[in-house]
Amino acid sequence: MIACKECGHENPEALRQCEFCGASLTPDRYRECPACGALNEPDRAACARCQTPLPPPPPTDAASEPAGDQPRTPDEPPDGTPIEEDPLTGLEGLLPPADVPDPMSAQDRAAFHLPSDDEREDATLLHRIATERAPLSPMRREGASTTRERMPGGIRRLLYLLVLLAALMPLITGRQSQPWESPRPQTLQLAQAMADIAAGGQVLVAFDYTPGYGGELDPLAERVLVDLARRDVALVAISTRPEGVGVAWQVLGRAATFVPDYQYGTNYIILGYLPGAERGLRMATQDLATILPHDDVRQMSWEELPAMQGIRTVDDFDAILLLTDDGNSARRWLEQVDTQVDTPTYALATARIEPLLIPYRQSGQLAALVGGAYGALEYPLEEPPQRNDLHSTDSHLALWGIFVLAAILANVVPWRMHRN
Amino acid sequence: MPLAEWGALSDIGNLIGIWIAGLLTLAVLSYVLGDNPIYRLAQHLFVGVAAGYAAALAWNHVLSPRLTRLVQDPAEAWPVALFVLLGLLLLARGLRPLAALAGIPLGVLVGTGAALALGGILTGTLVPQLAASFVSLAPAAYGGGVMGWATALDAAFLLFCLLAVLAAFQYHRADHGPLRLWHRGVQALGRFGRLVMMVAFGAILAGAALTFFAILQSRLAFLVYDWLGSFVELGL
Repeated sequence: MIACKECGHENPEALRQCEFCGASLTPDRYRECPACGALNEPDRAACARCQTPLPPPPPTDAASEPAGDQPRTPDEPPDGTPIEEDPLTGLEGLLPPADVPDPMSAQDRAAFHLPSDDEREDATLLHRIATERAPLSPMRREGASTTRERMPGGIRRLLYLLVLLAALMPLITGRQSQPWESPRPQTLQLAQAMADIAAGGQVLVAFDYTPGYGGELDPLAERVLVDLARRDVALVAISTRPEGVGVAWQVLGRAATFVPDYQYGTNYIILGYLPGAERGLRMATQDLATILPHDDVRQMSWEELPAMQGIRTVDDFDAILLLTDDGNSARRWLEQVDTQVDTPTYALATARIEPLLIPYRQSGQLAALVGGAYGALEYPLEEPPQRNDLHSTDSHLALWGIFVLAAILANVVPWRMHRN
Repeated sequence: MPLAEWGALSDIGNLIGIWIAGLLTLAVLSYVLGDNPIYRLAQHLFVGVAAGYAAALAWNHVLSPRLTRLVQDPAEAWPVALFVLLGLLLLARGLRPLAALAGIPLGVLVGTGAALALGGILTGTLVPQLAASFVSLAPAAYGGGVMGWATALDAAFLLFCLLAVLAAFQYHRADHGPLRLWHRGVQALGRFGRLVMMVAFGAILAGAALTFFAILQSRLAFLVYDWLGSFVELGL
């Protein structure tokens, strides 16, 4: 407990202000670091956070008192100047004493009681809330340190280098872990569902991802689309995001090069951008042909496109293949389309949003869900399209190692610094 | 132009594209060294190109075809005129005397959007997810045997975690009132719920790390195979 120097109230150690009168408790106990602002115990020579040497403590009251053998009288000022005469001396008794009202009646006095522990705790909490400093910068100084403070520059650069090495691992190891790669059940489920679509079937492919995530999703999309194209399934591309149309051009165009005689218009088409978010999707479930009457590449009507024969709404497709990097986009498809049609929806998602979509797979709203670059590695496909990529299990294993190392460093380094 | 010359031009265009992409990739990766003008140049370029692309796409694929249809066949495409009119009313927001008219299309947009979103959340997320949380805890429901027991335990754990997370959002003091013990139990369950949420957030963070790692690998593969490969093509 710390006794307040103003009112003498006993305060808990953690408080910096008296919980009774609000007077500051800190100056006598802690010293502020001139470099980082951290508060340090008075006996420390260097700052506990940044190791900056602390200035010497200010002299105490005892040290500042004048030296000498002669004790001062209570009325004598410390500098020895003579005391001036009090101007009120001799005026006592000239005026009658006034009635002083009693602020507390007898009833109040009977009801008055000392606060219980709970009440004191509530009062302490309220006081802390009311007096807590609001600006961000002082709070940051008192609270958690920033990443740069926790992780010195050398260690950060080491981690960058290790991540770079992990990314380039296949060039170093030559994909040693490839024989141990095996598909997960959900990937096999997706492959089986794709295999169950009959030749001549039609699949609506939603390219709802930006080119920025192409590095992860393109290989997976390419494998699944090549698989479908080889089974002579017609692919119809659409996107609820403007950038997705460009992605569709690139990915579908490349996938078609791996399948002989897979032609634009006959076997695959790009319908284009579906505007309107929720409204566009809901409309597509009722009359897709009115919203997107022409394809995006040749501006041909549906009657001229063999790939669109028999299609009027989303419900007429055999499956919906949703390629997405955005949880909201996926949710919109499930909420606005999947609830209105019987067509099963399969999702290929980035690893970033895969955990968000797992509940939809568990509830059966998504017929299958495969995510990440690892999904591309494990999707079973004979003679997969060759790509110059670095995705491999070797890299993932190295990355996990770095995660463990980073977790250890991020906890041990600040602990060591604190101890020193 | 002969086909061979077209092919040569295409190769040159491809090469220029690889070099621009390579240099922009290096510009973005330069952020590792800290914020710098090269990184900012690339950032502004990407934002500008994306905005320009979206605007061009909106004109070419959304506005232009509908306006053309309206002009060519007004008798059949007359409903489009209503939506064009609503769109034009949005522009009235910039004119002080007519600004109130912009409220009509905004009302239509917000009203339909909110109605569809709310209906979709109810029928597409809330109700199905709630229904999916009603799981059987009987091993017999999962075929019995070891797998049945394992699945039943899994379902029980799922249910327990769900209740714990819900309990984490109960904010009240547990020290007062006749339901003191009940409140303390809910608080203890809520503490476990917070742990469950931390695990879930950790999984999401790990997924995000994997995604960005995959993207980094893809750009490095581009630099190694395509950009550095172009040096070989150029005989450097």
